[in-house]
Amino acid sequence: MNSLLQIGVGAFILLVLFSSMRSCSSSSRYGDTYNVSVQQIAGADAASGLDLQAVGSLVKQAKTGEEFERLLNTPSVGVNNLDLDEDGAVDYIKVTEYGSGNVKGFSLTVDLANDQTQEVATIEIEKTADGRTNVQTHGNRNIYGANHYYHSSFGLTDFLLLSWLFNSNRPYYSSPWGYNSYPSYYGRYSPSSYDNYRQRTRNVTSSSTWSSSNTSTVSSTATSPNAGKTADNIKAPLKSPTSSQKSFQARNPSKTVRSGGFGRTSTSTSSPSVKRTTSSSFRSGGK
Amino acid sequence: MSPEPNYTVSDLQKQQFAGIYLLEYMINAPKVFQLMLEDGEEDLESILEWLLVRDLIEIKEEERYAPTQKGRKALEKFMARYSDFLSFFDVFCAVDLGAGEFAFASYYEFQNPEQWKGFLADERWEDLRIAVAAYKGIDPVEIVFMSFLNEGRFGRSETGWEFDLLLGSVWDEILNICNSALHADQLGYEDDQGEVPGEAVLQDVIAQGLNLIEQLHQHGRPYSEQIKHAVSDGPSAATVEAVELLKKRSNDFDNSPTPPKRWQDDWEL
Repeated sequence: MNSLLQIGVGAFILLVLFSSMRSCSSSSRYGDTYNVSVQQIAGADAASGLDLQAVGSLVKQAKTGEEFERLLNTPSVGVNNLDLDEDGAVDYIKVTEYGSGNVKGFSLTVDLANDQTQEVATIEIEKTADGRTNVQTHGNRNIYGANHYYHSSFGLTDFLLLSWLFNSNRPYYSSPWGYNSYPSYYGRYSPSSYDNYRQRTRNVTSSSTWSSSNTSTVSSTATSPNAGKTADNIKAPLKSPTSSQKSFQARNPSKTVRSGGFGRTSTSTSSPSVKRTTSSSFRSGGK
Repeated sequence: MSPEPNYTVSDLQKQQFAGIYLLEYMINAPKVFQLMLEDGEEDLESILEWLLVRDLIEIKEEERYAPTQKGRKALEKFMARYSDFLSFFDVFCAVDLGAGEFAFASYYEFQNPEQWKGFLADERWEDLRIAVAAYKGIDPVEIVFMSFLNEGRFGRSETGWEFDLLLGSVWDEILNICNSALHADQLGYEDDQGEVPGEAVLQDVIAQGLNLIEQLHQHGRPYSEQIKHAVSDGPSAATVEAVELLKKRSNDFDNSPTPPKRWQDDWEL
């Protein structure tokens, strides 16, 4: 929270300066506002720190899983701007390979403590019969919201570049690094502003065409070894919204409306009371 | 017997709701729309224009749209209403009108979310949220829209969601839900003690529901787990999260046929 406070104070000072400058010049069609959100503080939103189209495009540049991890975490490449625990430093993303046959995948995870691992996304690459390669990124539900997929189809050149991936005579890469244990090329560095980050990822994705969808297009039965891993010390707001306990649905008109339980003074006196079990439940409240 | 409800949604309402939808996307995702809209985004032009003339968004650096302070305030109001929806209306989503019971009274008896969802799916429960909203003078279309938005039922990733936002069949689905829902008149009945009007039933349901909500708050509300996973210990500078408001808000609903003050405007943003 200290980092956010510092950013907030900094933004406020900038704002005051900016506001005073406005009296001298006005280039905007509309009045500039105080709005800090327009500056898109990096790390304020978990999903905004890792552009999955850019991540998918990076796959083409790697020759091994280890190299992919290195590209992901190299500051000069700039694809990773993730700060899930809001400690003011970009998180180190680990890569774990999985899959078999014509479908290979990478699971991207972040260790936020020794026992706190959060899967951020998966990338799955499918080799098709016509010599093309379908690449799909899938954002973790909690971070990106439900059914957040990007798809791209790589051509023959890219397929040849990715041939190492489908070589069965090699071990799968599983990151040896972890919380507070990082390779030498990774040093703590601060997240960039949203605008700067977006400009960088635009450069990375310029050579690929991605389309978004809410369903998987990979005919895969492969399951990420890190599926379901969630850290409970994430501070950046997540995209899985708090939702109603029950979705609205159209009512079946033929259903009989029961009656007699409400509306009489005699029954109103017996207000409902919350029932509790003695065994532990899945709720966090009320303990 | 009053006529059955026939809810509609005007083009203006669609613009307002769609405008809020885009504001939420721009502030909380955060999504940046370029002045030169990308392929597929052309259907959003009229909504962005609508937001622009109301100063809810502005043009930055002559190249992109960005939310204004007024836009953030509008979203905050919307999220405050959504937190009301969660903290007040949700308890009425499963009521047994025959036994006089609420599903939420048993909320803490279940060991996992799947069991709880199964319990909610029992045929005996009626969803009275639309009836309660209408009784309180709150537009049911708005609360269903809120729910759809937060459940991602408008979508943002599939092809054509931009078109659906104003013209898609999702609006027909919302209206079908509102028009097929139970309303107060259908709740009346007659027994050996005489007639009980539907309004009396609904007032009793709301009174008991409020009592239950109070107890749920004391035990740890049903959204504790969701809140724990959705936010940190404070809102970020950039996002407007309903859950933050949910954590702070005290319930000021009652069983009178009037809504709290913050529900009384008609989205004249």
